[in-house]
Amino acid sequence: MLFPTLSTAQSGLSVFRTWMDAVSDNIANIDDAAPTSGPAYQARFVVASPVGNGTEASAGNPAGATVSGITLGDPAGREVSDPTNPLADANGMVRYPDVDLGDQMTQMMMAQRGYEANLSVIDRAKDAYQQALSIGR
Amino acid sequence: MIDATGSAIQAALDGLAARQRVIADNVANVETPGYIAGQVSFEDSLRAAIADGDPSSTAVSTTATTDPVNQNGNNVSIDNQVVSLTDTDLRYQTMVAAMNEKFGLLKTAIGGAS
Amino acid sequence: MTIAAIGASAVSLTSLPTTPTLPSSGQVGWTGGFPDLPGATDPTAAAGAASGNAPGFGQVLGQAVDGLQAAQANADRLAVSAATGDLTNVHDYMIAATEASLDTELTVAVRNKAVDAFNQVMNMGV
Repeated sequence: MLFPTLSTAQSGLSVFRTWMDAVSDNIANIDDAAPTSGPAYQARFVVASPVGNGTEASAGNPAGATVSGITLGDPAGREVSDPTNPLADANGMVRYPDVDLGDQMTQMMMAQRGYEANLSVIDRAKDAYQQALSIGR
Repeated sequence: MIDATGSAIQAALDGLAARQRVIADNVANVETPGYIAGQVSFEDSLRAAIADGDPSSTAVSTTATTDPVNQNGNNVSIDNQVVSLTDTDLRYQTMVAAMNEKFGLLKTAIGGAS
Repeated sequence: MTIAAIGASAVSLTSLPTTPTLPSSGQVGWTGGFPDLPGATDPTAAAGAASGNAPGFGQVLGQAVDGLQAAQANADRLAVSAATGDLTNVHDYMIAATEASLDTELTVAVRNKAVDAFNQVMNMGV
């Protein structure tokens, strides 16, 4: 890419979007009941890592961040007593996911702020490059 | 009046304009079920054509992207399209500036005092 | 502006600058010497590169034109690398292009002045 800052910011955008997708996945499945014989819904955690060796980006040397993997949370979840649930076992227990709504909302806000910060990097870099294009005019 | 450099700049302008059209197409179809985003590639062909000495023989090719699809079967990533559009726009401006500089040199030489 | 009355001069003759001394009889021509022009030397050593003097005027022109070709080649090279997307810093190309443009204008201006001077010499009455 001719303007390396843009590709760095693009990698940041995709990391934060993946994070938001994971958080929305967790929130959508926050009340999934499962029988105690099997695992509960496991929360998704995005693992991000830097790209390249941290020196400045150039045409052949990418910088930025990437999602190196998605780890899953605790399959045991929370055991809750709910005898009326059709999935309840002999003791009336079902598994619910070990996902805390407050925690997920905090992560959602952080992901949103990170996404907006990368958009602002793109905007500023575009202005700077356009100034460079007016050298000698 | 256009030398090898000017011809390379012209080929780059063609490729970038094609890329801009494909990006606009992708963005328009961001919610279309089953739509696969396209991408334009001309840089490798241009590099080979320059090495061969004839930049005007650059081929501008449009291929389908291999990004994962969502539930709709649509694989347009709006982040990538926006950044790609910004980059294409800036490179187009750079190439236009380059073309203007080349013609400016000719004008200075022809017209005497500028 | 009032016109000074005849006989009453507003400017004292003693305040006029003194005229330069003319060469005394027997001498012909201006012996005061010419002020040193930048890069100018004894005109008989115009091609004296090997002698270690400052370059003659012809060599100054030659260096400007040689620099122009190098500047244009550099700007062309960076333009091609920008076209293929290999250029990291776009300001490198813009600076090189501006340099080539200014070098071209300089060379053209020098050429124009040289042609004007030649025409003036050719049009001098014998």
